Parts: sequence; structure tokens; C-alpha cells
Amino acid sequence: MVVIWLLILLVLFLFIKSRPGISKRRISGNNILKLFLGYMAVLLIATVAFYIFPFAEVPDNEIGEQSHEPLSKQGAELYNLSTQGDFDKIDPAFLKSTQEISYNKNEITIVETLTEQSAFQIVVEKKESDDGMIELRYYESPYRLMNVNISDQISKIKTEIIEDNLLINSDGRPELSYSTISKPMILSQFQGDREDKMFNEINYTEGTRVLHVKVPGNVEVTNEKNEFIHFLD
Amino acid sequence: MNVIESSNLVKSFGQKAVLTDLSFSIKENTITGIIGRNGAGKTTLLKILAGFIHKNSGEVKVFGDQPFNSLLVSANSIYIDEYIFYPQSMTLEDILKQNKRFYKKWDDTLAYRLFNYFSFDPNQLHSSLSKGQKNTFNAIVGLSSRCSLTMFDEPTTGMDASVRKDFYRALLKDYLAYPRTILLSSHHLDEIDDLLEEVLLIKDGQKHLQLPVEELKEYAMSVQGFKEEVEQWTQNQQLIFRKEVSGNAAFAVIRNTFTKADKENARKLGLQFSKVNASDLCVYLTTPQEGGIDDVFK
Amino acid sequence: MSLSNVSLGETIKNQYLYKITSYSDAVKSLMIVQLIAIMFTVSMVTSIGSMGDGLMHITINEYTIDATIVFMILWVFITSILVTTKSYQYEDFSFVTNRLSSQLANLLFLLTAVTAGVVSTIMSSYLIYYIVLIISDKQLLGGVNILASGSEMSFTAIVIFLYMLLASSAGYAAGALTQISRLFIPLLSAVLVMGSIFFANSTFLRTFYSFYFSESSLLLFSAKCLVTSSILFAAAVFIMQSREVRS
Repeated sequence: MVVIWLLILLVLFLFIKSRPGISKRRISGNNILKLFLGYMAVLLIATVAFYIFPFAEVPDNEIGEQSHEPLSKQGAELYNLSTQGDFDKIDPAFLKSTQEISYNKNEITIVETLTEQSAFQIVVEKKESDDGMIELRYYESPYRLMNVNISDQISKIKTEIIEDNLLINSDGRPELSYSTISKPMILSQFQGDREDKMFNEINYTEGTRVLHVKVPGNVEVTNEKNEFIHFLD
Repeated sequence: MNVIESSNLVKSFGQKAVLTDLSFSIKENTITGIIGRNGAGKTTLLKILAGFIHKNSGEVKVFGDQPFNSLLVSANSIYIDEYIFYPQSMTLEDILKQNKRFYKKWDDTLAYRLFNYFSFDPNQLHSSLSKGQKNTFNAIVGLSSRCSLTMFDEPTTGMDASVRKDFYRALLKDYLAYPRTILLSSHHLDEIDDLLEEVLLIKDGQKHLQLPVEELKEYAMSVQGFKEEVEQWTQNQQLIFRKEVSGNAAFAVIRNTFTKADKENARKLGLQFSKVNASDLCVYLTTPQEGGIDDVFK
Repeated sequence: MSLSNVSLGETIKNQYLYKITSYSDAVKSLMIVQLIAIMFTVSMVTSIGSMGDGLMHITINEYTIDATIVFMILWVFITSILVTTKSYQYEDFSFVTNRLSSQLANLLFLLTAVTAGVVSTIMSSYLIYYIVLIISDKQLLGGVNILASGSEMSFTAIVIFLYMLLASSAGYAAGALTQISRLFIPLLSAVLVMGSIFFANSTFLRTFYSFYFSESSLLLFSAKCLVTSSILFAAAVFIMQSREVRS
């Protein structure tokens, strides 16, 4: 490794040292200085533009200093409130969609596989009345990657009733790819007491999804064994 | 007032002694020619005066200051030769501009007039000039800097005859308008003997002679005649140089100190006197008494 | 006879201004080296992680200015050696100077070079950002980690500055030594190569290494770098103080 660096050093040295041969076409010092000022101007434009036009995702600073927990406090709160049935206390911003479907059978089976693969909770509640309507409310706390809210880019929950089944699915599994400008290695020595942490930490907060299913009082939900389906009494 | 004072100056490079014991002084506002054979130590002396190199021992003062590391000397003196280093990236105009900033007495008008007269291109790079052009340009810098001590080391190497004449004329005119101390080392003493006021002749790292040019012109006479007569007559004279011309004829150069009686005596011996010009005299003065070029072919 | 009086400060200023405009090789190589580093950076994609669940899959690639920083440190090291070489020194003496003013102007020039290196390196990360934005179809997470954080940026700038200063003083001192004798060129190279190959695990080298590269306090690191580079620069100026020019 050291030898490679020394070789690079040698090549650079020869490169920088080599003064080109005497010819009238050499660029004069003044022109090189102008060229350099031009280069610096390009860099400056890129720098200024970065702050003026936020082409990229701008960090969402509403939560301030990012938490390092995989599940955000908001997500945990959403989970707790929904499993306790306190839907009124949930931040209305988390309510992403509502749907009402008329349903006049006595039984319904929830068919889904998502709950095993992601932080997705289904909360089932029996309505007091038998109004023949299934109400679906979908809540979601934000997904954050490096403090940027990427919730829009992930798949949405799709619900559908076919015969006596409530099918819950996602509209795909997108492959997301991001690039980031990381801290240079030169800073790693100043980590100090934070040595246990990764130097260039990927800061990812997974969102929590909750589907609140309200069925009419006379409808029985048949799949009671699923641990990801929570029944409110 | 003396601008330069040197006593017992010694300088050697490794084993090779260049200046062995040089003592002299140069008065203010004079043009002095530093004359000597190749390797006599002219360039070494000038570089010591410019503060480029150390002396080994002895004393040397320029403007009353030790030149090595003296800002006063650097600011008031300039050393011009064909090897002067300028950054390869600088155009001729850049170099003039830099000089203007460094030298307080710099005359920009003169610089540009000379620059245009010798038809230089302001955007040309110093490294792309020919030897003669380089020397012409450097001479422009030397003249325009108007330094109190201006040193030209072989300034006319590679110049055309006409450019050389122009340069000497420019030097003289500017010197008369703005008197300063000028040291000129040159091989072409015959071209500059009417320009110089004084000559400092260096031989083997020592001062051989320091005289006003007028005196130098009267310094010696040459006699020519039969070998025996020349030998006989010169025995009582201060002999500078002697050589056998052909067969039994001889040629001798002697100090111009003989009496009228001596001269009369010489006439009787059939010797012919003639004047020795300063340039030739310097050659005779610096030629070793034994072992001239003729001896090589004996 | 009226002599022009010049002060040391004025001479240093003139020498500095002259160096700034005439040392174009250094400026040229800075640009070329930096452009190479930038190309190097944007063509090297490093994945630093992937994650996902049943709902999506995420991969994250990172770009850093590491290459630029390394190249700049090497650049300033070499440039510092070069300004001690004969032709650069002789050029100084074509104008008004003494050795002290020439040396101090060199130091000012190198300090400027380091500053230019730091500023352009920091700003090059924004250029890298835009190049990545244009050439890659990936989404860029701007404002993450380093770019948007002013305090992080200035912290990085200070650290790069200190490393470049250290490299510059080491190069300048090495260059000054080789001016005493050419023998120092093989000697120093041998020490560097042999030292790093055969004594890589020696306690001395480790102590030396950790003295600088394991210092986790910026304040202490700054102090170490500043003291070291001052000593190296002072030694070089002292060495050059009695060197003859054009001998």
C-alpha cells in the first residue's frame, strides 16, 4: 500500500516538475491565472447554486437532530395509539387515505403478506352498528433517509374486496437508489468517544404503517391467529 | 565617495582559487571596465558585489554595506548577464512590470522606448528569445532600472554589431543624463574604450591595474626592431610584453616611463616606436610572459 | 548619490506579488490535479449500504472528496519542494531581495497555495454533487452529512488546511535539505521507503503516526500541526539563509 502511494507521489512529482519545452505556444502566467480564476468561479457557482436551488431532497428539519433508532418516536406512538384504539389522538397528518366499501356478507378473511415483511400493523375494530360498510383508514408515519422524507417514493398500500376476502397488498416494491456526499475520511480521527458508531452513518428511520379496518358489527373476521392483526374489543 | 571598497578579497570554489587577493575601490558615478582574461575572476567579483555569493575572506563593501543578504545593496544594484533567470511563464511585458515594482528609480518611459526601438513583442516569453535578443532585453532592464550600481557582465554577447553600437550609445546617453556607477565587463575593450572612464584590470584573481582610460592609452609604447637591439634596449625598461616576430625581429611593449635620452638611444639602435591602444595593452598585460600562443607551436 | 531605501516588509510584499503571478506551474498543476481527482471521484461509486423490506429496497452510494484531499496534500508537498529548487531561487535574485525576504515570501506563497487548495477542495464537493446529479440517474440526497452543514464544512476545511500545512512544511524542509547536498534526495527517499516497509510495525513509527493521526481533539491537533510546521519552516529558512545563488 505504502509503495503504491509512493509511486503515485513519484508520478505526480514528475508531472508537476516537468516544465514543458520552450515554445512560443506556452500559456503565459497571466493566462493561467485567469484560467484558475475561471475554475474557481465555476466552483463558486456550484457552491452558491447548491444553496440557492435545492435540486436535491432538502433535509426535513422538523424533527431536529435525527434520532438513531430504527423506529421513530412518531412511529412508536402511532403503533401504540392505534393498538389501544385511540385513533382520535393520532396526528391527522398521518392519515393518508380513507375508503368505504359496502359489504353485506357475514364473514370476511383478511388476506395479506405485508405484515410479516415490514412494520405494518392491521387494527380491526367492530362497529357498533350494522351499517353494511367496511371503513378503511390508512395511517403512515414518515420514512426518513438521512433526514429526508422519502415516504412519497415508497409503495402504497392497496386494498380490495374480492368475494369474502379483504386483500391487502402493495402497489409494487420499488428499487430506490440514492447517492450522497459523505464526510471525508480525514475527519474520522476526530470522532473521539463516538468511536463505536459508524463513521459515515446511514441514517434511516423506518416508518410505521397502520391500516385501521372497521367492520360492521355483524361481520366476523375469520383469521384471528395472525399476530399482526390486532383486534380491538 | 567610494561606492565599492574591497580589500584582500579572496574567493575560491572548492580547490580552485578564483580571487586570490583583490583590493580596489570604485568611485561614485564612474563607468569602469572590468577587464581580464576568461577565468580571471570578473564574473565572480561581480556576483560577490551583487550579494549572490559569499566571499571567503577579506573585506568587501558596497554602499558601505556587506553585499551578501543586504537589502540596501540589492535594491540599489542590478547585475545583468545573459544567464539572468526569469520565470519561463512571464512575458517580456510582465518582466518589465515586475521590475518597475521592485526598482524605485525604474524609468518606465525609457524601458518602453528602448523596448519598441529594438522591436520586442510584449507578449513574447523570455525563454523564447535568442541569445542576442535576450542580452538586448536584459540590457534594457539594466539601463531602465537606473540603479546606483549597475553591473553589466559581458552584456553584448550575441548582439549584432549595430545593436551593440546602439546599446553603448544608449548607455552613454543615459549615464550622462543620470550619472551612476556602472561596471562593465567586456571582451571588446576596443569598442568601449571611449565609453569607459576607468579600467580595472584583473589578472589571476588580483588587481593588476586600475587606471583612467586616458592614462591607460599613454601607459605603454611598443618597440620593434632586431631581436638583439630590442633585448639590449629593453633591459633597462619596465617590460610588459615581448615576442619574437619572425627570424631575428622582435616586438616589445614597455611602460611609457623612459626618458628622452632613452628614446634617442633607441632611435640609434634602429628601433621603431608606436602607440599601443588600450585594448591591445590589456591583452599584453594579461598574457603570461612565458608561454604565449606562439610557444605552443614551437 | 541618493540610495533607494527599502524595508524588509516592502520587499517581502513585492516578492510575494511577483511569486503569485509568476508561479503559474503550481497553479496549473493544482487545477489539473484537482480535475483528475474530481473525475476519479465521480467515476468511483461506492455503495455504503442497502436496506429494505417488503415495501421497497434502498441502496445508497457515496461520493467523498477523499481523492481530492489526498491529491491536494501530495500537490502541496511537491510544490513546496519545487519552490526551494535553484531555478526558483535564482529568479528571486533577478529582482530586489535578500535570502530572508525571498524565504518569507515563499512561505506566504505556500500559505496562499494551501488556502487555495483548501477552498477549492471544499468547493469541489459541490461541483462533484452537480456532476453526479447530471451523470447519474440516481436520486441525490442533498444536504446530507456534509454539504449543507456549514459547521461541518468549516471543520473539514480546518482539518484539510492543517494537513496541507504539515505536508507543505515537510516538503519545504526536505527541499531545503537537498539544497545543502543532492545526497539528501536518495537519503530521504530511502528513509521514507525503508522506514515504511521494514519498520511499519515499529513502536517509534506507531507513536509518530498516532501522535498526529490519532489525535481526536481538534485543538490539540491544530497545536501539533502548527508547532511542527513552524519548526520545519524555521529550520528551512535557517538552512537557506547562507545559500549562494548562481554560483
